[in-house]
Amino acid sequence: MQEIGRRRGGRTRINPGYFFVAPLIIVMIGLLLYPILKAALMSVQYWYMPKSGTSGNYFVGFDNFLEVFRDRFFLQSVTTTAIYMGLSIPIRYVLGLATAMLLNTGFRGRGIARSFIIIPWAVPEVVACLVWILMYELDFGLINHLAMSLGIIQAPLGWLTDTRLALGSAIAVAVWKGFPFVAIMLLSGLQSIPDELYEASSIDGASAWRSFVSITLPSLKPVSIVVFLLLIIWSIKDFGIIYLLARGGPSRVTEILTVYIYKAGFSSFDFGKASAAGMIMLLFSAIFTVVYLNIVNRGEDA
Amino acid sequence: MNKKAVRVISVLLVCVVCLFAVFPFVWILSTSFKPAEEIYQTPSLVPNNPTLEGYRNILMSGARQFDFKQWLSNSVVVALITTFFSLAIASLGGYGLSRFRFGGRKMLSYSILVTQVIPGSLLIIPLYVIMNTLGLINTLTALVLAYTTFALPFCTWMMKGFFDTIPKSLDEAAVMDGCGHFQTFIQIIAPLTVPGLLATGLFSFINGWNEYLFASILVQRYNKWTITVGLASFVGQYSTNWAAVMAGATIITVPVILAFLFLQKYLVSGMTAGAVKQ
Repeated sequence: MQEIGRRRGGRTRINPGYFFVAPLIIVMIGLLLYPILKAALMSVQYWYMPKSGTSGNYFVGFDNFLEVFRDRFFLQSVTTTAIYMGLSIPIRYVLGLATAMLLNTGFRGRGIARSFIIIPWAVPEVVACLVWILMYELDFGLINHLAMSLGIIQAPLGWLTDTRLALGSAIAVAVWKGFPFVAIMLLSGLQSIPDELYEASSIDGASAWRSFVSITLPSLKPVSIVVFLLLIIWSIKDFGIIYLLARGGPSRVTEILTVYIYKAGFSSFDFGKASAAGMIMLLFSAIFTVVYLNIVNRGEDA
Repeated sequence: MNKKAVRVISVLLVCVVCLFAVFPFVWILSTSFKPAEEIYQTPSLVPNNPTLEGYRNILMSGARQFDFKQWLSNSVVVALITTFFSLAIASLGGYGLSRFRFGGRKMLSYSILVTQVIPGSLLIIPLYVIMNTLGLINTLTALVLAYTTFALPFCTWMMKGFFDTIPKSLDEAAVMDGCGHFQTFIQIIAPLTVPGLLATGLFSFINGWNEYLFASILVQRYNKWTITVGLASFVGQYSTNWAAVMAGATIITVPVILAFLFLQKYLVSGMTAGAVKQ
């Protein structure tokens, strides 16, 4: 195969590989690269739709960015995003790890359990939010009903309407939706650990905890790093669950960065400001991407 | 603690985790079979008076601002066309990346991975402006274009993985026998990756089927809505007919769950992209 696309009989031919990837490249340039460049351009232009100027979308320098940084709701949304990620990622990971380890113990019905675990991942975001909204309901929701019959709470709580609870309630849904991915990935990592390692350590008299720390965790390190970075990259752009559950409310306590951008764009119709905020967000993701690529690349070369 | 106790405890814990994972879906099913007024009474897992009323209500067409069957067909059309295009482009691209060494190949591979991080809420802004200029707002075409683009990188990556598992000697033999590269791809290699094509196609179908953000912006006329936008329109409404909404939720969720069960092993191998070494 090596000679394909190289010189043949002294004549240079176009590498046939290009014909195969051409449609892919065209679509990626037209519908990914171009819009991103367009957004970059829009972030330094006037794009306030309600008062679209007679002079069109003129250049405004870094005004949009300044406006974003002066907006206290932007800074608040960055904090909210940090809290959201800081809580939901570790919880998803720990729950996923626990689930993977449980599934890795040999018991009958393991295949069924694995299929059950995958369900939250498969449920469409919109459906997931609808059912959680119903379960969180103040007056007739299941969660209030259960918590009250068990005596945990005295009066029904507004899980999604109370400013102190809303973010936590939304994170719970994100964890529910996101932990199966972690579990399935880590399970495939666990299954690649040879049993002999555990046998040897139990012969040497190591405790279960000891072999977890010195065999399981180190063996899971490569998968864990990828899972963690994917979780970071994906949680930065999480939108559907948070937006549909509470639309960023109550009083903006669940307004993560993506919701802020969405609202700047499609509630206030300031596309310039929204693009500027979006570019800042892209910068954050880019940093993690570089790390991610380095690691994935290392995995490929190994 | 003896071995048996550990075993019992871990099976119990598995049950707890499974319950947590499955329960909301069970609640969707249960609610969908309840009469509308029962939702507002003391919640019970098994409907007291099970009925198909919810399903009848959601499928009853023609009401103003409410046309579940239309949304369903919009979603099917968009997801199917998206699947067709992304499969065609992704299998060509995946084959190209798997078989040929050409200048810029490494950069293309990188770009494919990089697209994973582009936030949809950023992309929707220029895309809205572009689609508006092209006069594609409120058309399903806009959705097909957007979904194909977003499904492509991952689909290409998956297809490349499948092609990598097929020995290159097959291509070499075909070329030796006088097959052109394209003919080799269509007649020899593609038929060998039918499971791969199926998995990748399902992935891109589900992607289009579940999507909400782009659909909510690019199509605003309710007869062009997809099911996700249609169902989401019930959020925050007073006097929601929950039984009907959950009946709709059941209809759109069950096929996805079945597809996921089939897909799971391919998804993992596609996502880890070589990080999990067997």
